Amino acid sequence: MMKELALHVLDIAENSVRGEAKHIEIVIGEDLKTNRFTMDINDDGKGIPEEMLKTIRNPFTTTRTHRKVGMGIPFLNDTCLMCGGRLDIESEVGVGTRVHADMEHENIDRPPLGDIASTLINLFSSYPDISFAYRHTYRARDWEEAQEFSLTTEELNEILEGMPLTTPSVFIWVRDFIRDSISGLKELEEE
Amino acid sequence: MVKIKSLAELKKIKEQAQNSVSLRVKGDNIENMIQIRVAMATCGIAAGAREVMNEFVEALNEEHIDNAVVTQTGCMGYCYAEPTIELTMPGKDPIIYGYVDKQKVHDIINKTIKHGELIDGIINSQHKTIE
Repeated sequence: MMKELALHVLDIAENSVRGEAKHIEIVIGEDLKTNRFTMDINDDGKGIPEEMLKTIRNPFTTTRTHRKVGMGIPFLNDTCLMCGGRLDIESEVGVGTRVHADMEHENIDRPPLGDIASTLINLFSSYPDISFAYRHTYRARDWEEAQEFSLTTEELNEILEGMPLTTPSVFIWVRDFIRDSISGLKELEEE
Repeated sequence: MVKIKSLAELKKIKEQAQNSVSLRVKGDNIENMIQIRVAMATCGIAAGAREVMNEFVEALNEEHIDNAVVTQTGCMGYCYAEPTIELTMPGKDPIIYGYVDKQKVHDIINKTIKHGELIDGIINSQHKTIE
């Protein structure tokens, strides 16, 4: 099993990469007021045929060629069910795939989100030809509105002007920037 | 949340990096770079591949090794030995290391990358890079 939900995000996004996506959107929603934790991974990849979609939660369904099992989706499906939620997968061949994971935020079985910043920088740096968009919303129990952090690889590339995100000092800076921005979400902005 | 202000700092980081690696010619001659590919499929991820990738980047940064690029690959089929990495030194055949943890990252850098010395944990010398 995955120790962190951020590892599931990495794993599901890798499916999008293998599905030849050009744009991948990752959205994390933490709403303590409604007690929901959601993760969305949306792509414009080649999509999943209807037949395969029916059996996708079965570990013996996989596109792998090295071996006959694929645990990514089944793991996440189980985690969602265990945590008072569900996993929805919508897909259309030639259009793309939307994976929506929903859980209770305060469920004792819910793994922590974990190091989402590492997940993102690993994806951003390894796949320079794919444009990624990340959005993270957080609402504490006593807040009226959620706070939001968003970042796209387009914004980063504009600043970097061709310098790859694999450059170690850049990789580390962006990772720490995402980390700090997300922990900043949980503190209320001072007027 | 002071995002805009912080992102602007990235420009400085970029300029610093540009100055320190001015000798490097990037992109078009990837064959001349040391390539480290971390297997990042479900098996690798569950076994800690993401942390291995982080550790490589941090260690290369500390050691000022500028001619290396860390990226990821899919499942290479050695799920039992995850995390696995594929190391390609310029002009040489790729080497696969299995059971890579943080300590091994440093061993690979200090021995194999710096001195060409092979260490324990090589998986298959007949390996051909995928894709």
